[in-house]
Amino acid sequence: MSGGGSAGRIIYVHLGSGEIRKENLDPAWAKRYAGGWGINLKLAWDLIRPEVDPLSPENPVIFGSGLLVGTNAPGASKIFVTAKIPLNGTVSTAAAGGGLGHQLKWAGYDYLVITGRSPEPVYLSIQDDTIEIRKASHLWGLDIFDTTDRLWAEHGERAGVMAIGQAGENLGNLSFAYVDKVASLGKGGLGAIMGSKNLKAVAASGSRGVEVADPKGFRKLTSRLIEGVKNYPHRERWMKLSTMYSWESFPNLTMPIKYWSELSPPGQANELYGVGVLKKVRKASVACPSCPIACKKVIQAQDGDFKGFTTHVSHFDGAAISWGLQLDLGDYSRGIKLTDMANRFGIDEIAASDLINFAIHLFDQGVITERETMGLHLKRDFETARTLLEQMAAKEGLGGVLVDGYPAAIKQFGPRAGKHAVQIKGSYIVFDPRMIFGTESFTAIVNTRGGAHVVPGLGPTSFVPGRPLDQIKRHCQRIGVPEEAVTRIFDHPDGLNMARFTKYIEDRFSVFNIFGICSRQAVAMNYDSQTLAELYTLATGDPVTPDELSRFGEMIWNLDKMVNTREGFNRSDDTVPDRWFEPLRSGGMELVLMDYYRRRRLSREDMEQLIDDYYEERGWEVQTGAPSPARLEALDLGHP
Amino acid sequence: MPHRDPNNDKVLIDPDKCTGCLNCQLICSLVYADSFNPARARIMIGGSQDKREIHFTEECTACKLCIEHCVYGTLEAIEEVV
Repeated sequence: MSGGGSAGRIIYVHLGSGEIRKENLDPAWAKRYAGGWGINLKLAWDLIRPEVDPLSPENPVIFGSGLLVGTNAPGASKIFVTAKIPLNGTVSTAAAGGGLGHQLKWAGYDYLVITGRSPEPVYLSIQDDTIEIRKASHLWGLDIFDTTDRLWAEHGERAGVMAIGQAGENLGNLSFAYVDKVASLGKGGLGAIMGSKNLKAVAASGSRGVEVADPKGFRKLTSRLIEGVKNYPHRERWMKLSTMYSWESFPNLTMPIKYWSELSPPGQANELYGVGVLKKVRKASVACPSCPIACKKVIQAQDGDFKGFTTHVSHFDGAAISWGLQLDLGDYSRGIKLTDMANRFGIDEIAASDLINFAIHLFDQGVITERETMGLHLKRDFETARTLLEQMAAKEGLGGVLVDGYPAAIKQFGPRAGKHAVQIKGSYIVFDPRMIFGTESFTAIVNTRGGAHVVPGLGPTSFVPGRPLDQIKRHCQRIGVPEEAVTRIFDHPDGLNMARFTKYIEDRFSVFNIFGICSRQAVAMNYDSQTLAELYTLATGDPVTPDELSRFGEMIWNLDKMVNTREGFNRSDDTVPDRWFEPLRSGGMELVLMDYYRRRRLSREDMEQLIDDYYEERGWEVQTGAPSPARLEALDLGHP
Repeated sequence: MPHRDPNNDKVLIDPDKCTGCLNCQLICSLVYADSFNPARARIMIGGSQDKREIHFTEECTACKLCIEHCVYGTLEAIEEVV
């Protein structure tokens, strides 16, 4: 059997005409674009027109399950969404766990393309061969969790449910969708895109199943992987702490606060909102199908203003860092409450907290006054955050400006505000390189989506400073970086050229996105390039080598770049925020931007040189940032 | 509370440990229905995210594959006393 792993079909839905069309997936696409993100991007290349407005009916929204989603490959659970997003006009791809990707696959489909605008609120119901556009007037206006509960009541709790909240209905650019109450999908405005189409939700359940080409071989390999995960010595800790896994390694953990200008007092973040709190509030762990680490949580506040309050979270960092620490709440239960509000409204809480912090910073600096805040006296506290979050959901008042993100806020508050903004391509930034200058910081500059990048977790440089060079060299070998590239990466005065290294981390992430494998470290570390190639071969029946798989990864990253180059993005959009060249202050200490091993301070010229290096490593034009015709030909992307 | 199911009394089930990963259903359906298809598995995972319900179907042969593939300790083999 060839073509296993895939269900082999695409659903096209036009919400305006009501047409629902099922088409067989062209087998040539699988050979050329592999699957998952690769085929999402092929669809984007064919269907997203450069002149189309993100919130117009014509803007398609493309969903796709990874190739191994639906199987028992550990952690293969991701569904990808690709669309032109209203935040910044990029053609952006996001990923989420939860059960939607599996259910779509088990129902008999890999991809779902939705265009048009329904005249009234609707949701899409997929149950094997029965696909219906159903009325959603009873759901419109409800928050995401209530909508999901209602749809589970109608479709059974097996169903994978993706829903938007009030922020999406009201077309806020920071809106996203949420899958099964535990996984966010589509930062930068998927919620608004769905809202603009009057599409409240998608509910899918399937009973057709998915086959693989060599079931015995596949079972043998996945059993080995599952055994490996079981015996992974840090698994228990990962399951307990999830994304706070590394916090305990840093007893003096400090983080940027006060809008990227100061460092929190050592230990404060962990003491008030960290590991001890998570251990206390964790009520249940929730796994995406096939996942061995169950990082999603049901949590319940045990103290504070909201003692007893229970909610579902994709991770605890939002309540702890985005709200507790950044808004100086003093009481972790207030952070849990704000996380719950944001998730129910369907607002990206990290972005919301960052934009609120930005506004408070501008207010403190006198750049904006109560005239711009429409009467609000802004300060870092619970009431300010709650008020602005409610305004964001309703798209009213100051929150109504902030919910459209940095581009809208800068337009409203003027260029002086823009100089203070810490953002890339209109998107907030997750990691401050003044703490650790690793692959996650660098890709924030050059990846197409902007600061809230698409490469989480895979870089060994991301969360741990100064890992020995030998360790990073071994990682390069494990993930299949070519020998000549290894030489280029490590022949550098910093010991490690972070720009060139980032290229290979991105390509590895691309490969993960073919399969839909989660990038959380405890999952990702089980997959070296040889294992991934074997899985591909056993699932599809088409033999592939690790090198060929890496080439797929590079091809996909380039196709993503091509789509966005066609949209008009170029090197001038790959910006480095001014703030990164200013010190982070804490007491009498200063932390400045330095290389990964903290041997030398990095200037703007150094960063521009690194961007040159990155383009060169990718075979892209250094002047424009566009993929060179020669590289595209080499990757068979001359005519996608 | 850990319990047994009438359709498979060789397994002690602790639903409180279940995370809903469906690994048991995935391996069961692959082996007995030739595809990854929880709807055709002989172990049923239901309930809500913070309160799971686990049962076996009448077709279950107590082969223990689900126990081997459960990574959360939800399913435990009951040793027969001779």
